[in-house]
Amino acid sequence: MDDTNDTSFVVDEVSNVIKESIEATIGSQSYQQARINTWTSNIVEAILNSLTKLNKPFKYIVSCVIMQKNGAGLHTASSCFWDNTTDGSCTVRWENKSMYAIVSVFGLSI
Amino acid sequence: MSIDHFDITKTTDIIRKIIEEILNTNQYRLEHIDKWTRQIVDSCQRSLFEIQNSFKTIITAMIIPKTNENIHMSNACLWDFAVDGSTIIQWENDSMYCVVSAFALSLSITTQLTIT
Repeated sequence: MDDTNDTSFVVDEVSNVIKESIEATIGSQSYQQARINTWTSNIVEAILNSLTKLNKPFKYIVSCVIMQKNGAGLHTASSCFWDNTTDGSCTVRWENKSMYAIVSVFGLSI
Repeated sequence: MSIDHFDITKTTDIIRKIIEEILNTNQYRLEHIDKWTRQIVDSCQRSLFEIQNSFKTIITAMIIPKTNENIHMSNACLWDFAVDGSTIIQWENDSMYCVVSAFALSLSITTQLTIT
C-alpha cells in the first residue's frame, strides 16, 4: 500500500501555492517600475519556500515573468527532458488591471 | 566515479547559435512566432541531449516584440549547486528580443539541496 501523493508532483497543490504567492505579493498593486524586481524575486522565493515545506523528494525550478499591460504580446514555449512518470510542471497566468504575471514551476524527482 | 558537471559555456554557445539560426534578421511576425519559439526549444533540447545526457533539462524560450514594453523575469531553483546548473541567454535583433533559459539537473544521486 503506498500513498503516491507523498512522492508525486501534484499540479493542483502547486497551482494553489503559486496563486497564493502571486496574490500576496502583487494582488492589490499597480505596475510600478521601481518595485518590479522586488516583486518577481519575492514571488519566486515565496513559492520555493512553500514548495520546500511540502517535503517531497523533488528539485524545483520556479520562473516568474511580469509584464506591463501595454498591448504587445508575449510568446513562450518550454521543453522538458525528464521522467514522465514522476516529474511535472504547472504554469499559472494571472492578471490585474495593469500587469500580467506568468509563473511556471517545474518539479523533477530526485 | 565522477559526476558530470553542467557545462555552462558550451550550453550557452549552442543555444546562442540556435537562436541566431532560427530568428536571424527576421521581423517579429505573429504568424511565425509560435513556430519559432517551438523550434528554438526543440532544437536546444536535442542539441543539449547530444552533449550531456545525464541531466534532466528544462528549456524555456520567450520572444517579445520591441515596443515600449517592460518585462521582468526572475528564476529560483532548489537543486544541488555542485552538479546542477543553468544559463540564460538574451538575444535581440531590430524587431524583437528573445530570452532562453536552460536548466540542467543531474540524474546522479545528490547530497545537499540548496535554494539558488
